[in-house]
Amino acid sequence: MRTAEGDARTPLQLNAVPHPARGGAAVQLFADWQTACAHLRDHWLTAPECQAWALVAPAYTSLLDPGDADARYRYAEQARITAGSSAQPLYDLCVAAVALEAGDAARLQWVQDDGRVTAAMGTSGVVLLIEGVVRTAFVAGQGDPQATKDGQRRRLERRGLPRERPLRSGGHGGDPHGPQSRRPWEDKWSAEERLYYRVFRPAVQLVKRAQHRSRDMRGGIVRADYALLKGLLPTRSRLKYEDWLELRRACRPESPSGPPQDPRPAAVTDGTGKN
Amino acid sequence: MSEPYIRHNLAATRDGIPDAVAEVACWLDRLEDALRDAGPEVTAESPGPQEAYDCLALAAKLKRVRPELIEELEGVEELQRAGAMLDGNGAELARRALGVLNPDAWLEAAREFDRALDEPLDESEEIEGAVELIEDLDDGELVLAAARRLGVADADVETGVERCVDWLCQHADVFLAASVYVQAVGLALRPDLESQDYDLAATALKFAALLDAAEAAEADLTLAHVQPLPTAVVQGLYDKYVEERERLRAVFLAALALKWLPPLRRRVAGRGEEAVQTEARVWEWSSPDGQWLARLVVPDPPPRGDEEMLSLAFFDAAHREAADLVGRPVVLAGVEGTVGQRGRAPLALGALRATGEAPRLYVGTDRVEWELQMKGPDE
Repeated sequence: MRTAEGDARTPLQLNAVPHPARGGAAVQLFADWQTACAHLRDHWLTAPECQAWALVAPAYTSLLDPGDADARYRYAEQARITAGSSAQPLYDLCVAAVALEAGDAARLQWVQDDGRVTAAMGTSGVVLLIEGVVRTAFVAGQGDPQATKDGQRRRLERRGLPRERPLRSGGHGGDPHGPQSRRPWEDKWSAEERLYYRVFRPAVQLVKRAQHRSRDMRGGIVRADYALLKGLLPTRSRLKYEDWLELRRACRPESPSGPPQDPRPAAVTDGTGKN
Repeated sequence: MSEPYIRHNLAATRDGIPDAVAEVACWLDRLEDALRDAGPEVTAESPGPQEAYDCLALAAKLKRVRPELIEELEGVEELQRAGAMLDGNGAELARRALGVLNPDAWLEAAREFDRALDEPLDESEEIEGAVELIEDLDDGELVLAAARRLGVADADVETGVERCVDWLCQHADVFLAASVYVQAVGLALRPDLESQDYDLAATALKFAALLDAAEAAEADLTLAHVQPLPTAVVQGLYDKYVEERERLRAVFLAALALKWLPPLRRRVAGRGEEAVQTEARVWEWSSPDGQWLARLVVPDPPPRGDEEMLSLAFFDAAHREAADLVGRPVVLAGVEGTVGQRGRAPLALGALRATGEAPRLYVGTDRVEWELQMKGPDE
């Protein structure tokens, strides 16, 4: 039996999710427990993306408070110390959420394979990149996926790369109504509206913006990952809230509001990276 | 009508890669979000400076766009909503928005980005960084233009932003990585912008500067700016090259004539003497059409000294004996011979040494010179 702190002798048990481009096949979520823990730390346990995950997978808040930075830090530390064992519940939640996204992608054909990498996106706006295993699954548009990692952000800033818009950083830059904060009228929003406006739309925008940000000076492709999805998503007039809701309900007739509260892994592996 | 913001000679534009519709769709989405985040009505608290900034910047940005693109993307409603919001409240929103402008921060970030390019940089990071800086400055300029129109101005901020724009135009090559994005923006801009709205046209000048830089860079890459030399000059250079090549070849062959055969002083090991390890010098020539190969193996030291008979062997491209060449006369280093059975021409080592000539090989009655193959030590 696993304790709340986890059993250091048993590393995180890796599971699989449906492969969005290969019907019936499963693909392991991350290569090993170390990668899985790093992913949870950098995406599920780092602001602002953790807030988005809490909307994608509402059961998140039963594990920890995404608004409590100390709690998130302690969770990540404990995961590292216990070889990921203590983070099994969060990982399982991740598996359940990503599995649903993969299912959406397969159904809507929001999936593209360039031979090296398979990119897919679900109706919550989670982007999956698969290279043999699921290499990453992040909520797109919640800050640069690379800069999500504090360490990487510092490295990028040291190298002179602008990550925030410097011209609008003065005076009232510390706007209480920053992009992640909640406005008063949002209290009237349903969970689906919050998911659409706060998570899905920014994800679609990131994918569409990638069109001109993945090409070199002469138009050659530089980065072929989530930019692959650009041509697959409907036009903006076909992705209004009502359109999205329809797609969402078509993909998830049993659970229109999101993934189940009690996620069940798709398959169990021995944690060595092999199914 | 002229198209000041479109450069058809740029490779990406020529290949149809920049997509104005995609870029404008992003701006419309951002405006839609900004209007939503701004809230249903303007109050003392809402919209905040950032939302006000987005509303002003994006409404102005979309006014620069070809109207047909807005219609195609069904974005007329968003523009109308933005207009309605600014009616009556515009000056207040402009005051809030101007408060967040920080030109010094932009300038510092741009200089740091420029310095970062001195080291190898991930290409996608470079593109992202360049686009972010351009888009950030564009939004700022548009906010200023919109604020001016609403009767709100801040001289210090205006001067600061002008400094940023000057820096960008003077360092346009720093932003080359964003070229495809810049081309997409150019495709989206209405060509009659200058006559329609001079203030907004001024905000688009930086894109013209960036496009100029992209054109210059691509011309450098393709050498398009290099004028062809006059034929007489080219012929003169070619003649000089041939002359120099022949001179160097003569020097080389003269040096080779002294060294291509094993030296006489080396003795042949005899009975009761210390054995000398025999090596070989291998020389090869190929026919001008590449169909035939000749090979001469010279033992070093030669077991019979200058009395050693060498065999110049001829092969075809598949390394079969060159039966077709049997009977052809050959001249090697001035020594005459004939290709005999099995494609071999016997030549005496002493005779080759006696001429003192370089190993130039001529084959056939018309004495066609074959090319000496120079090989490295491991070949």
